[in-house]
Amino acid sequence: MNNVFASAENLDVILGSKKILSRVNLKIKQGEFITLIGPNGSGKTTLVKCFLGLVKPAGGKVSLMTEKYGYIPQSSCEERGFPATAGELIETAAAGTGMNKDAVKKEINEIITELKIQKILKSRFYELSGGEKQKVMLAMVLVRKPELLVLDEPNLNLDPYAYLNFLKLADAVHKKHNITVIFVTHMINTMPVSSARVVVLKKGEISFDGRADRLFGKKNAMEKIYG
Amino acid sequence: MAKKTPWKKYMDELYVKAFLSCVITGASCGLAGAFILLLEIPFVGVAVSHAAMAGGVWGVILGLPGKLSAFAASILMSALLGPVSDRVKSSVNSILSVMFAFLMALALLGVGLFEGHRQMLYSVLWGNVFLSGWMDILFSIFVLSIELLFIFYYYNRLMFVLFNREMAAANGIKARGIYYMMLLLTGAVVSAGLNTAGGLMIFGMIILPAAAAKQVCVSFKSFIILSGAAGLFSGACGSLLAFAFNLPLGATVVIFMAGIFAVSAVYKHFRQLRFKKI
Repeated sequence: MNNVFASAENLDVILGSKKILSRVNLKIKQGEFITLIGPNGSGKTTLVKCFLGLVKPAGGKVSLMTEKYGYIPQSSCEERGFPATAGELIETAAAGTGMNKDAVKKEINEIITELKIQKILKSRFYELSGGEKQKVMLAMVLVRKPELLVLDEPNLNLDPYAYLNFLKLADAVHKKHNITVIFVTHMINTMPVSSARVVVLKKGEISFDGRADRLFGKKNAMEKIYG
Repeated sequence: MAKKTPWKKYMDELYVKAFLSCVITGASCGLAGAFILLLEIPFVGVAVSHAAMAGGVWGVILGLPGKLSAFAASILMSALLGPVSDRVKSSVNSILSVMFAFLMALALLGVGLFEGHRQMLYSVLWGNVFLSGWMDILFSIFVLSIELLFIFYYYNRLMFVLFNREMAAANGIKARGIYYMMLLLTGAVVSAGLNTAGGLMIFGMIILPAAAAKQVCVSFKSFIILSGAAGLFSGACGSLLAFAFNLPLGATVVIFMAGIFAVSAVYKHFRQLRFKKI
C-alpha cells in the first residue's frame, strides 16, 4: 500500500513579486503521517495549498492521487460569531458527498461518538472552547471520508492540554481510518510524536526530509529548522 | 367627491403598490443582508447603489433608459467585484472603498453635467416608492424568487462557504462560484430596491435585519429565516407607519429596522445576564 500518494516535482510558487517555494521535491506515501515544520513565512501553508489546488504553481508539477481530501485551515470564523450550531456545521459538511441520507446519518453518528462531541452539538460554534472548535472542524472534514487530511497549525488557538488531546485524536484518526496526514506546524515542541517523518521547510526550500529521530538526534536540530 | 375614511386611502393603488414594494424589498434585503453580514462586506450595498446612480445618470446623459442603465451598472459592479478582488489579491472591502469613491465622483460629475429633468436622479439617490409601477414590483418579486431558489438549492454549500471559504474550497465545494453568485444577487437586490429606499437608505435595509437576527439566533437556519422575516415585517410596519403619519417612507422603514435591532440587542444582553447567573 506504500505507493506514492502525493508528489511535488521542482515546484516553484511566486506570489506577487515574492518567490515562496523554490524547486521543492516531495513524495508522500499513502497512510503516512508527515509533519511539515519550518519558521513563519517558510512556505508550509503554500505547499499544502498547492497539493489541494488552492494555489497555482509558477513552475513544476504537483499531483495528488485522490480527490477526497480534507483541510482544516489556520483561521476559522470564530471571531465573526457565525450563527450556527456545531451539529448544523457537521451536517452541512456531510452534504454533497454522494451518500444517501441514512448513510450520512450513520457516518455522522460514528464520527461524533469517536470524537466525543455529542454534548456540544446543539451549542453555537463560536461559543465553544478552542479545543471543541477544532474537534468540530475535524468532524466536518471526517464526515466527507477523506483519504488525505491536512491540519494547518491546529495548535494556534489551543492551550497545551487541549492541544495534547487534539494530537491524540489526530493520531487515533490516522491509525483507525488509515488516512494520510500532513501536519503543519512552526513550533518544534508542538510536533506530534506519532509523526515518523519530518520535512523541514526553510525559505521556500526543503532543508531536511527524513525520520524524526534522525533530526532530533542531531545536536543542531534547532539550527537546522530555524537557523 | 365623497370623503374617504382614513383606512380607505390605503386601498388606493398607489398605496398598495408602495406597501408591496416595501414588503418585498424588505424581505429580499433581509436575506441578502445575511450573506453580506457573514462575508463582512457591509459597504457593498452603498458601493453598488452608487454604481446604479452613476449608471443611471450617465445612461440618461447618453440617451439610454435611466432604470435599465442603473440596473446594468449595479449588476456589472457586483459581477466584477469578486473576480477583481481575487485577481489583484486584495480584500473585497479595499476594492469597495476604491470603487465607492470613484463611482460617487462619477455620479456627481454626471449630475453636474446633466441639464434635463432631475427626478430620476433624485429617485435613485433617495428613492421614490410612489413612482413604482407594477413592472417594478414584478421585477422585485422576480429577484426575491431567484434569491429564495438560490438559498434552497445551495443551502449546505452556501453555509459552508460563509463559514470558511477556503475550507469549503479545499473540501471539494465550488466556493468561488457560490461567492460570486452571492455578490451578483446582492447587486440585483440593491438595484431592485433603489425605487423603494434609494441608494443611501438601502444600506440600512440590507444590514439591520440580518444584524438583528444574528443577535438572537442560535442556528444558521433560524438566522436566515429571521433575517428575511425581520426585513419583511419592517417593510410592512414601516410603510404603514409612514402612510399613517405622512413620513418619508424609506427612512421610516429603516428606523423601524433599527428599532428591531435595538430590541434584539437588549434581548441578547438580558439572556447573557441570565446565563451568567445560572
